[in-house]
Amino acid sequence: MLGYAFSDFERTFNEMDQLRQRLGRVFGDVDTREFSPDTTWPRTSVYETKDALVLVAEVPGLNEKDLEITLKEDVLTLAGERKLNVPDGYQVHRQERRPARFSRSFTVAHRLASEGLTAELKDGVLTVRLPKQPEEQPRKIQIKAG
Amino acid sequence: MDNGMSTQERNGVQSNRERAEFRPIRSTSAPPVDVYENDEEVLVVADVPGARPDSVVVKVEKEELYITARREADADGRLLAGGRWESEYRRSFVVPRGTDTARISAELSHGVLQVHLPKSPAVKPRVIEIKTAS
Repeated sequence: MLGYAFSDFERTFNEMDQLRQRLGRVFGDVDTREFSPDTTWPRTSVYETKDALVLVAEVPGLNEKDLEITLKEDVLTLAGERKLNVPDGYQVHRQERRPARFSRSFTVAHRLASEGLTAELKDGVLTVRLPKQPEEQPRKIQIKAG
Repeated sequence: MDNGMSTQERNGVQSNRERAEFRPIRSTSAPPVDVYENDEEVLVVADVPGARPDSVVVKVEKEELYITARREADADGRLLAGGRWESEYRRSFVVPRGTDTARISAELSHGVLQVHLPKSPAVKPRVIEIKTAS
């Protein structure tokens, strides 16, 4: 190998070029399942259970301090910000995750209980539970005889 | 099954799982991914909200990196808006040549998965010290 020092050098540099090219298209997806961005962030769902309304929002990377939940009359608002900084000293090959500053409001078409509202953040998913006002019990009206 | 919507209406409130049968299910989805690189490593960052830590699998096989994670179902109840049906995240990539696959590591925090792919010493840039004649 030493005898071919120069061609080895050339080959080495060729390989480095190849590596660079390969890095250029680094992380070409292996399968065809391409990521397609959603139009809104965070992705949010609302469910109704027997005794509560449940709002579920996907907020990966956020912690409690990045989120604000307010309930004013019948409007629930979820606001927050996700900053995405390139880690120090790294160059970017691909950036599909996106920064977001958001405020989403939901009109609540139910009478809510004044207490018992809970919000839980776990594994990047926020779950807000809004307990409904207990339905008024059916009442029997006594008829008085005249 | 053949007439799901009317079944759904008849039964009123059903669980997500039951209702999911009547809808087009995208059972897997490709999480959005960032890829960064410095002299030491290639860093892959993926959003996998709802993925339980014990469900995340990071695997390297034949120069390919596979990321999979299972997602918990949302709360039971009648869906009023939005909705998601994916139960699994799945994404795979070509691992750059020169990756020290034995030292690949990963961590999950707040629904964000970070995979570190360290470079083997052979491909790390090296600055050659220049000796000066005294």
